[in-house]
Amino acid sequence: MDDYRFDALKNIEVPPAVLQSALNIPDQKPKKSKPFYLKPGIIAGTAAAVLMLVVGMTLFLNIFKNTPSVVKNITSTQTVTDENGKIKYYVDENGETVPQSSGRAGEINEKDHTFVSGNSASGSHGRTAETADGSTLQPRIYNSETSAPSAQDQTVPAETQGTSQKATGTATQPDITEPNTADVSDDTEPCAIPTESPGIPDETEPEIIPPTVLPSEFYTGSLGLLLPADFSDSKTVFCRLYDSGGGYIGGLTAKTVSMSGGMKTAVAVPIDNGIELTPGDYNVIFEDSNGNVLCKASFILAYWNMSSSFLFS
Amino acid sequence: MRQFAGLSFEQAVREYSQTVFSVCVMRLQNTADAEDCYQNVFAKLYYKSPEFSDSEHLKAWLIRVAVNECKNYIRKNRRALPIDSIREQAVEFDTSGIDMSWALMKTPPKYREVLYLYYGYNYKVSEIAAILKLNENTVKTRLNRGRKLLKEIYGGDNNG
Repeated sequence: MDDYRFDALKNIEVPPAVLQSALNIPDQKPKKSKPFYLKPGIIAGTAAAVLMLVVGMTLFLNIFKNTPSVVKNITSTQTVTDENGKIKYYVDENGETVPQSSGRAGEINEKDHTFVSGNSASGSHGRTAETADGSTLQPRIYNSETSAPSAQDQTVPAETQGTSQKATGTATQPDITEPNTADVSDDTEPCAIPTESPGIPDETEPEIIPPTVLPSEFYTGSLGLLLPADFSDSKTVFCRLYDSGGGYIGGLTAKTVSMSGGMKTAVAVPIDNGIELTPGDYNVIFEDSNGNVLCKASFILAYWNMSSSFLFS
Repeated sequence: MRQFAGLSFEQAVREYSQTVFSVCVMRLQNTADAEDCYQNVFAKLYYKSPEFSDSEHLKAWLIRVAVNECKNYIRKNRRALPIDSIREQAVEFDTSGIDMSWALMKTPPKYREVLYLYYGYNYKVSEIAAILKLNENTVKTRLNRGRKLLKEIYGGDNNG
């Protein structure tokens, strides 16, 4: 065997501090590696994954939280009258049928049409409602400046023209107690209330349609009532306006207008009848020439919707 | 108290301190890095506390652990060690005498470790193969090639 000497390497001196450090190893606590779930990378990755999951689920759920396109008008109430014009039932803001004899706050006395005080507190004429997602809805209000059709587009019965058409400016103050267009032969016609509805105690009672606010195509600053398609054009619809305290403001003659698509509406324009409304809470009653209440509802007129229309059904 | 082939931990450290350190220097060519690996070797000895049949077994185990520790250290710090810093901290041996340590350090690592164990510690081929977990023929081959290379380096530098 050749003589290869590596003594210099073999006898290399170990630094005393290094040797001492090795001797102190038993006194040192062993380094324990962290569990894998405590390592920074794992923690950061987990946090990022959870964040991504939360954001993704939030976005996903928001897809299904769109506001419904048609808003139920919970402010309007609908009444059922008997052959004598006496109110038998009306539908409250929750769509529940309430007998007239129950004496609930907010009902309207059919004789004098005055509102019982405290109706606002009772909530029967509340104008807001909580939706499923907690947002507050108000009756849809439409600005006729953008949606109102031209006068040529509307079919207006001849007997009603000129009574409340804003464009002509020939509106006259109607005599509410003596309607000049009342037709006796029409007295027996149904008033707008369809028949038969599940959930009503008496099956013979007419169906109660939950009040809704529909897209408005009315004149500026008008009050409209959606009528059944077979509602006679010759019948006159009257509109009584009350303030929130039940005080009578005035009466209007509503013009019956046949719209495209078979819709028929009764439109009353307060300003055409000399009634200048200021912002505030109002109650309105629509009735036919026989005094049968077709609808009673309430609405809020605000500064920002002074020129808007309210449609009730 | 922990015993390592009849030795306490302190005795084992003092007995094999130079062997472990020299193996680390031989493999890393750098005293600073060798110190780190040296610490790790004895830490493993203490905490693993393997059973040793005799002192030769303990020595062979320490050499194998030292070689592997150096390989791991190089792999982990390969990109972190600038070449200049390695050169500054490199171990330098006297080239004027008959000691060939300086020439050994210029051979490739795979030849270097076989040559060092064979000539430095007089291990047999079979023992080197066991320590380094290599085939005996591989050890022989590396010994032959390493020897030739070492002569070339030593003779060439001496002649030059």
